[in-house]
Amino acid sequence: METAAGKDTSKIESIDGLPDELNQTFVNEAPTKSFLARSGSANPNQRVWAIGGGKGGVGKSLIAANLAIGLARSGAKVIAIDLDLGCANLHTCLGVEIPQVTLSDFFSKREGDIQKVLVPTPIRNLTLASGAQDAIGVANLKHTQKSKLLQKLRELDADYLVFDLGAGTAYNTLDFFLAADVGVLTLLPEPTSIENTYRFIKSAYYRRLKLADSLFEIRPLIDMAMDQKNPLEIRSPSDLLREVTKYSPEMSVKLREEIAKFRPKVIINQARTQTDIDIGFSIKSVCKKYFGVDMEYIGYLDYDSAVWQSVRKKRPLMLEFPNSKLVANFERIIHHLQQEQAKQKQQQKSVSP
Amino acid sequence: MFEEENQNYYDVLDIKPDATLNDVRQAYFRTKQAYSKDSAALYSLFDEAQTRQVLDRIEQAYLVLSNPEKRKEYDKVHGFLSPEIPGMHAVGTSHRKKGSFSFESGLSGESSNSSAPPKTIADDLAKGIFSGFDDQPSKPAANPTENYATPRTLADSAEQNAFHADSSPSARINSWDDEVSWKSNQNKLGIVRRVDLIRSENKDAALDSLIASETEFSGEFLKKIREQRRISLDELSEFTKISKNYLQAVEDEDYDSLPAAVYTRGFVFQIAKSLKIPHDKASSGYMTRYSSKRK
Repeated sequence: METAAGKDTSKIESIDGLPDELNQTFVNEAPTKSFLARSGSANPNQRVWAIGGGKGGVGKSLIAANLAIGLARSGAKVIAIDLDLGCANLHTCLGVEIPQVTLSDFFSKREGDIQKVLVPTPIRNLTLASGAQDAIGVANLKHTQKSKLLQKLRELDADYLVFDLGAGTAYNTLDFFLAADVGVLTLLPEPTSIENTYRFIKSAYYRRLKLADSLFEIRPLIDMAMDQKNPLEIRSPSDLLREVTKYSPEMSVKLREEIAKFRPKVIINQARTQTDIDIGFSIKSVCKKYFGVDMEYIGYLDYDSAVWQSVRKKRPLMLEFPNSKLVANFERIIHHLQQEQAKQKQQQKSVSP
Repeated sequence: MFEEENQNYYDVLDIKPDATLNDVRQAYFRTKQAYSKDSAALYSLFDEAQTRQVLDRIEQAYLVLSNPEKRKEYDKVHGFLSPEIPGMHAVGTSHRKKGSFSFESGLSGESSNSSAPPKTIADDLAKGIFSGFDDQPSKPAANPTENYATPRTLADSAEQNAFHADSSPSARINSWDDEVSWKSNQNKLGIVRRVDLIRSENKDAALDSLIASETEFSGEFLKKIREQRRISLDELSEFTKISKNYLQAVEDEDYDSLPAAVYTRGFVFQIAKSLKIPHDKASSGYMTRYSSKRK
């Protein structure tokens, strides 16, 4: 496989000072860069929002559903996709009956046309690709299936694709998160959730570095850093940067550039007190100090019993409880993200010739 | 800590070099809170020793950056350009440490600074000075303010922030502050104390009219108002200096756990004041219930 740098990654020379076993480990797994590429989209303004978060039960499906509803209500054409394979709940949060054709059919090739997998929801302009009726083992997607799905989804005529990701840090989850324009991490203001969020950030971070073409030369070091008990005693991202700088200052510049591209967003869910709300700022600060990652705190959601009530009724929260404070919370978050999108566009325009 | 060696005081407080004194103050609180002993945000990443290190750095950074003279000196030494007039923003500061790629310049939107259209002639001049900065260390870094100290209004700098691929820390702080502003006073020792317990975005007109129409002021009512204002018992206790147990007892109307009536009245008075409930009305209402129940 040729890369931008012109080297053949299947035959990389060994890095001095590394034990031989480690030099050989990375060669075969090289994930394709096309997964992260934006080409092939029918709608060049299409944006992909991925809602993830390490811990289970923090509200990803709920948030994905209601963000999708909010976007659709503002006039955009939205497709919600349930990528919590093996654990699909998005259809319930959207008030949709368990569909007959779902993503499992697409993966098993029973249904080749992704359009046929989309089902309508109670909200205009919003359709759903459900993960229900799942085949056993669907959670263990092959890389090619993942790429194909993403490619087909991007070809659809939609302004927004909203992914509901699963919990945990499986590569499937990480890769969809990294492929999105906006990656949102959901967390509760509790130690378990916070710890899992950091876990997720760490995994996504290293996964991203591993997928970066410009860093292929130092992939062995990145692989090492992913193992907490590696021989070079790389424990934190700071250690990795130090080792890379020792190896090649030029590579350390590239490493910093790649790190700067990783900008996850965070939403605090079930906030009850001001302290809960403020935790978002603390997490942002800690994340910057530990990982060197610029995380953005985009909003919080109040704890509201309307949530469990709407889930039990299997009705979308925004429709069932339009007077809930949460509706305003969601709209604020959407507004914020759309504003940032507009600013980025403007910046691109002013920079390009 | 990521790249501890390369972190300057602005990095430590998560602010940009052109932050105002107010920004510095708020950043100090924010970071101090993030690294406090009880902060949930530290879990699994920082141990006690590392946290103490960070807190020390935060104190050092604040001592220097909150003092205009010390800050000017620090800026000179480290190649930042500080505002000549206290409280005014400098023109988009572009800074580079000689030789090494500076981590913060990659993130603080330095590249977008250069793409932002200049607003005044002074800006143009300033850009001329800055772009040569790295190559010509003999340039008058000693008098950086002469040519460029055109005070920018807040609106200008907000607009400039708009050209950054946002999420830079102080830009975030600026917009969140509209909703989460901490009003504070700074006394001579630099100790800041919040005078207003209620955050501005927790002010609620419907709630205020509910309070205005209330006559009884039971413990339950006080609790309801506190919760609606999103204040925890811990926060109220810290603010009023009344122990949490007493606060709880007042809300539960657990009179046996409370001291003599005169003290209880005092507690209710303080609680009401902190929660912005008419304190006279509240304490007499509450004490009327107290006496009738204690007969």
